[in-house]
Amino acid sequence: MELISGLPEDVARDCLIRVSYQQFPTVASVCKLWKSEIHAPEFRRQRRSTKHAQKLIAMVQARVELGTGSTKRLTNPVYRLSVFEPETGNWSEIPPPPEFYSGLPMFCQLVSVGYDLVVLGGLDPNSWEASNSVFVYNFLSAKWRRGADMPGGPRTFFACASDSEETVFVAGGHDNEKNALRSALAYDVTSDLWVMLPDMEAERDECKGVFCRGRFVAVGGYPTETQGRFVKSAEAFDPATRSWSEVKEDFLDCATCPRTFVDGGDDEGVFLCSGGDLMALRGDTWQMMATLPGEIRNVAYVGAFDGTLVLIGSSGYGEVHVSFAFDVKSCCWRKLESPEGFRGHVQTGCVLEI
Amino acid sequence: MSDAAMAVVKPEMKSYIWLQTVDGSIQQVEEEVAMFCPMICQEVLQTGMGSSKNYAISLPQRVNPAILGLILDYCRFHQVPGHSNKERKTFDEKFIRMDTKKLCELTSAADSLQLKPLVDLTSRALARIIEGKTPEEIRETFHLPDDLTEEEKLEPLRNITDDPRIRLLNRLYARKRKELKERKKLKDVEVEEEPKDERSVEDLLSFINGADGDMKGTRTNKNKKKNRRRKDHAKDLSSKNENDKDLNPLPSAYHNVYFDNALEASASKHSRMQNLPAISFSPKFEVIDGDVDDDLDPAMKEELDREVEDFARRLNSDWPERMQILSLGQDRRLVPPISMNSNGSTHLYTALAGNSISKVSGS
Repeated sequence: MELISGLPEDVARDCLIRVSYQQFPTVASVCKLWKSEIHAPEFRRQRRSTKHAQKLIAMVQARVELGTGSTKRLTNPVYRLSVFEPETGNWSEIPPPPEFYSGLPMFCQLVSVGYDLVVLGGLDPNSWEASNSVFVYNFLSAKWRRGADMPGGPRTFFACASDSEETVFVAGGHDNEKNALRSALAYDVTSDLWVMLPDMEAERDECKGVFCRGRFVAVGGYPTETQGRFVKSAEAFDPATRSWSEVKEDFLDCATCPRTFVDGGDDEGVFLCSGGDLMALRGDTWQMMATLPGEIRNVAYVGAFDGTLVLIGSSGYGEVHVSFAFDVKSCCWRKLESPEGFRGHVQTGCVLEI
Repeated sequence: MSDAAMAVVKPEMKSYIWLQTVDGSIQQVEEEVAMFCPMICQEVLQTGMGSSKNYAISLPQRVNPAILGLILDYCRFHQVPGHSNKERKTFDEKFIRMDTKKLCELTSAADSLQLKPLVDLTSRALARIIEGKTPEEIRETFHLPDDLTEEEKLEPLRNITDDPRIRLLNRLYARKRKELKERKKLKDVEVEEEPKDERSVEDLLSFINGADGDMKGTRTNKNKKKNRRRKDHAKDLSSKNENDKDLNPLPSAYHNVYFDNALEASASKHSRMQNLPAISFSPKFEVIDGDVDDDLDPAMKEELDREVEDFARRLNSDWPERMQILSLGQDRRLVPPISMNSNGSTHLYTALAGNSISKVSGS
């Protein structure tokens, strides 16, 4: 039985890997052969190696009433999952699971692993209760499933990052009594299992997590005793040795909230927005790369891929959110189009390549 | 080797390469066009073949004469260095306009001739064709078997949840939908016969209701009132089952009468369902019943009512336990899929699960 009759296997596969990700569920429901083809690791590998994988930025974004520009409102905005395709400029929405019909949790975390998009934790938008829930959206089937809750007590404002292939890492945050946590966890998406990791050296509330150069890095945050006084240190977890590195003091240039800290990839290094500027870490020193355009002075989210940064922000509280792309090599800013309905505040996001 | 070399050296004379397709036919092709194909180019340079009829290059089996013609058209255009990118793109767009079968043959042939740009072009075209089709259409186009089970297929109503209650509910919905479709088809056929039916049914009507001479109009009003009452009972479900609207039953008196009786009979069941804690799926059934059941025959209706009641009973019995489990945050069940066209089943699940899930707190 051939994938496509008359075509040799590799040529047929060459056609299938060019299909847009939105058609994955269709391809998977044609027949057994096509279903197994699209699920095979080889499919994803070839899609990426032939540069047919699509870049997406999934984000937790506030829904703005059409027709109004601003998000100034008395009630809490309702957050939905938006998807932006930087290569085509296309914006779309992923329908939420029933549990999130009244909005995604506030301050939830979003990471991607393979074809899965994982939504972790957050506060219920109506009751403000902290939740350790895990919801996973699969792009191959366009379906949601619920994963195992994060173990341990309630945890919010934690660092979260994935190695994009198998594992989601969680560290720090705070519990219901606002005690900063130093504990860390890892979640294997395929087997739906959580494991405890060794504790971090420092308590880190509101720290930022990134995965770079094979290690999970927890950046900044603050301990229980000094609420809101962000530290400049960071520590890295190496999955190979299952241990945390020495704390690196003065990893950040200044004591600031590390929310906009992002890893640009192996070649580009890491970035951070601070004081109206976009900073880059070159070697051991932070350098100013560019001034942020006024329209995105308040940066809500920074995503990075392939030498480009996508920044979403607003000019002030309650204002419309706009997106800019920043090319790292040329240091040029380019404003991106966002249709009505996709101009709300962005809590968090993640870059995927599928 | 010398022949080929000589052919190249005479610029005034057009040089030709001789090609033989698998069916045995031989043709000559302008040299610059044929050499655009890496496979042919390789043959000429390495073996010296192709310089005369007797030494024609044998093309791979996947290249038949018709397809070869197409490929050569492609090569003839693209080997000219003068064209702009835009011109090439325009040519390509027009070039690939052909039926899917031929497109597959072309892809295959181009691949065997190692003509990568054409393989890219045709693969992309095939991908676009796939993107524009439903699974059923794809199976038809590419002659693929329909061998996935209902569970494995990804229709919105089908789901992969463990919960048997959701599965039963969806099955009921699916069956109702099917019946509605069939009823609608029959109805479309019966439309002309309708007036005749009504008259004889008027007689039946008065017989059943004790011949108090009720006009059809009054009866209809009574039904409408009942309908509205039932709908008021239903919790706020913003989207109705689409089929409800489609159906728009013709107010045949016979059907209305039956509907009255059926409503009364199942009223008690419905009110019992109303008492379920924080679960509003029963009203949804009522809404469907109200609009649709006129058309179902009595036996079918009874069976469905029974199933609904059974479902409600089962749900009622272990739902409190379920809520308990959920609130402890230890339940790792799968959730049913989302249907983008907001039909009844999706909102139904909200009603079922919405209240409990939002209160989950980690422990």
